[in-house]
Amino acid sequence: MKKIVITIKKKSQSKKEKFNTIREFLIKHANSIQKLATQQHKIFLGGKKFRSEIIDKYQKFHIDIVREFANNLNPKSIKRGSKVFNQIGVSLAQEAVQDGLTIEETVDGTIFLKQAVWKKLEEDGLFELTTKEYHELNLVIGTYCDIVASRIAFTYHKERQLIEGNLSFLAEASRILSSSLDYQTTLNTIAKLAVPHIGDWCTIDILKEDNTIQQVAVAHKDPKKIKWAKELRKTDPPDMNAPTGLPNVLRTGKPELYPVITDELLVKVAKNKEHLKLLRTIGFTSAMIVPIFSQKTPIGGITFVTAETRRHYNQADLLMAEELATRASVAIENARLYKGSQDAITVRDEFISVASHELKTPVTSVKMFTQVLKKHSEQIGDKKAVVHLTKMDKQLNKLTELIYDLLNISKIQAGRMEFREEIFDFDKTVKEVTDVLQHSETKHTIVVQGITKKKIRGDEERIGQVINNLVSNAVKYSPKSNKVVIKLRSDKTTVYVSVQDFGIGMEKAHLNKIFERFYRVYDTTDKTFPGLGIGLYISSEIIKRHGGKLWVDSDIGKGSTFSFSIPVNGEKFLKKTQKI
Amino acid sequence: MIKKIYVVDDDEGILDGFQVMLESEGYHVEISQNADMLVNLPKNKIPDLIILDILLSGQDGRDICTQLKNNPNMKRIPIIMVSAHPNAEKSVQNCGADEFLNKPFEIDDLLKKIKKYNKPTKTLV
Repeated sequence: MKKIVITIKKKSQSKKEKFNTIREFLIKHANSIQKLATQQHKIFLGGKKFRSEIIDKYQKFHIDIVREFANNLNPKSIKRGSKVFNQIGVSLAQEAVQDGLTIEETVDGTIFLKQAVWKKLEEDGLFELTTKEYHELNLVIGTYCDIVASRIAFTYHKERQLIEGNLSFLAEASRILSSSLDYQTTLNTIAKLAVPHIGDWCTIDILKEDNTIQQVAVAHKDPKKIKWAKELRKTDPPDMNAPTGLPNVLRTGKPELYPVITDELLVKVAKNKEHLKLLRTIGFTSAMIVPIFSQKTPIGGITFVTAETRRHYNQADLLMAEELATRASVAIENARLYKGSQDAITVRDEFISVASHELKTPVTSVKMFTQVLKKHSEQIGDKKAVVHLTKMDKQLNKLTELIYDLLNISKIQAGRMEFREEIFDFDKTVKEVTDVLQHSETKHTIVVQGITKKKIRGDEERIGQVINNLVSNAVKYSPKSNKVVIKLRSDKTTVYVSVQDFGIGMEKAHLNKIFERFYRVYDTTDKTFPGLGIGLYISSEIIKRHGGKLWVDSDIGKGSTFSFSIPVNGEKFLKKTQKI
Repeated sequence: MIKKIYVVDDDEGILDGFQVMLESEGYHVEISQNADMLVNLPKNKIPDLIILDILLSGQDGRDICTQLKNNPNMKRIPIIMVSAHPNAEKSVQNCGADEFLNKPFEIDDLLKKIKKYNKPTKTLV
C-alpha cells in the first residue's frame, strides 16, 4: 500500500495541533477512506454488488460523512456535528428507501466507514495520541456514526410507511377514479382520501372555458375549515396572472414543490395585510401543486398542503402526487369523451326524430294525392292507371315503414322505445296482420296453420310489427316460391310462432349475426336484396323486451324458418318496460 | 250529416292534399295554416267536423283542441287529430279529441272516421 508521508512534529504537538492534522488528513483522504469502506462492505456482503449508479450516489454521501467527521472532530463542536449527522442520516434513509436498499445495507455503509477511518489512520502511522486523546477521538467519531445509524433506522422506517401508504393510496385512488364517469364526484372522493394521509388540505381545481378556475373538490378533516376555504375561494379567487402557485402550474404545466413554507414566502404571495394575516393563521408548513392534463394541455391542478401535522414534502411525495394527477387526468379525459359521445348520441337521436317527422309530411301529402288519383282512375275505368297508382301507393307504404324503422332503431339505441301494456287476443292479431299483408300480396299465399287460443299481456302493435317483419322477409327472400307458412301453437305459459319460407335460405355463418344491427346477408351467387338490415334487429329487441326468444333455422336453397316464443303472462315484459 | 270540414295543418302540401281528397269525396273544405281563425269562427261558419294537426307552427294542436272543447258553440263538433309524431296518439287522450290518425294514413281510414259522425240513417252526399 502506498505510504502517505505526513510531516508532523510528533512530540511537541499539542492536542489541538494533532486534531488539526487529523482533520486535514481526513479531508485529503476522504475518497480513499470511502473506497476502503466500500471494499470492506462488499467483502462483508459476500460478493454481492450494488448497481454502479447506486455506488456513485452513496460514495458522495460517504465522502461527505468523512469530511464532516473531520470538520467536527473537536468535542466542543459535537452539538453542531450532531445536527449535521442527523440531517445526513435522514437524507441517506430517504434515498435508500427510494432506491430499494435494505435498512442493513444502508446502516452498514456507515459502520464500515468508521472502521475505514481508523484503518487509514493506523496504516498511515499517524498515531501519537495519548490514551485520553485516543478515547476522545473515538468517542466523537463513534457518536457521529451512532447518530447517523439511528437516524437512518428511524427515518427508514417512517419513509417505508409513507411509501406503502402512498402505494395503497394510489391503488385506492385508481379504483375510485375508474368506478364512475362522474369525475366531479370521484375527484371529491380522491380529495377526501388524501386527507390526512397525504396532507392536511387537498384541493382540486379545474380550468373552465372562460379561463377561470373552478374548485371542484376541497378536503380537510374539519368541515368548518372546508366551508371557510370554499367561501374564501368565492370572495378571494386566485389571480390568474400570479407568478407562482396554481395559476403558474396551469400556465406552465410544471409542478411546484414547497418543502418549507417560510414566512417570507407568505409575505411574497399575500395580496394585502389581511390576506397575510390569514395565511399566517393557517400555519402552512409545506405544499405541492401538480397539474392535471388533457391531451398535454394543463386543465387543472391538485394542491396538497400540510399545516398542523408539520410534515414536509420531498421529491418522493411530489412524484406520488404527479402519479395521482396522471391517473386523475385519464379519468377526467374518459369522462369527457363519454359525455361527448353521449351528447353526440342525443343530437343524433333528436335529428332522426325531427328528420323522420319531416320526411313523413311530404309522404303524407303524396300519399293523399296518389289515392285521390287512384280513386278517380277507378271511377273512370282507367285500369292501367289504377295498377300503376296501386304500385306507387305500396312504395309509399314501404317508405313510411323505413322512416319508422329509422326512428325505432334510434329509440332502441337510446333505450327509449316505448311499450304499451295491454291484453290482446294473439290469434286475432296474427290474423289481422296477415290479412293486411295478403291484401297487398299478389304472388305469395300466406298460410296460417294452428291456433294458440291465448290472450297475451304485451304490446299488440309491436308484436304485430314483428310478425309483419318476419312475413315480409319470408316473401322477399323467396322470390321463386309462392307460399309462406305461419305455424302457431302454445302451451300453458308460452305461445310459439314460426314463419317458414321456401326461398334461398342462408349459410350457417350468417345465422348468429342476422339479428345484429345493420347486418345484411350479401350473396355472391345470387342478387342482393334491398333493406337497411335493421328489421330483424328491431324484431329481436321487441321479443326480448317481452321476455321471449327469436331464432332461425335455415338451409341453403330450401328456405328459412324464423320462430319466436313469448310468455303469456308478460311478467318479464312488465319488469323490463318499467325500466325503459 | 257531415258536409263542411275545416282542416288546420301548417304544411301547405298536406292542406292541399286534404282539400283535393275531401272535395273529391263531396265535402265542402276550409283550410288554414293556423288555428286562430278556427277559434274565433262566427256561429254561421262553424264546420261539421274539424281535422287538426298536433304540431302547428307556434301552436300546439292539443291546446287548440282543449279550447274548442271548452267553447259552448264548438264543443259538439267532432275533432280528428292527425300527427306524424310517433307518440302523439297517447298525448291526445287528455285534450278531448274524438279521433286520432297517424300520418301518413290511408284515405279509407280517414273517410271511415269521418263517416262515423254521420247520423246513422242518412247516407253521404
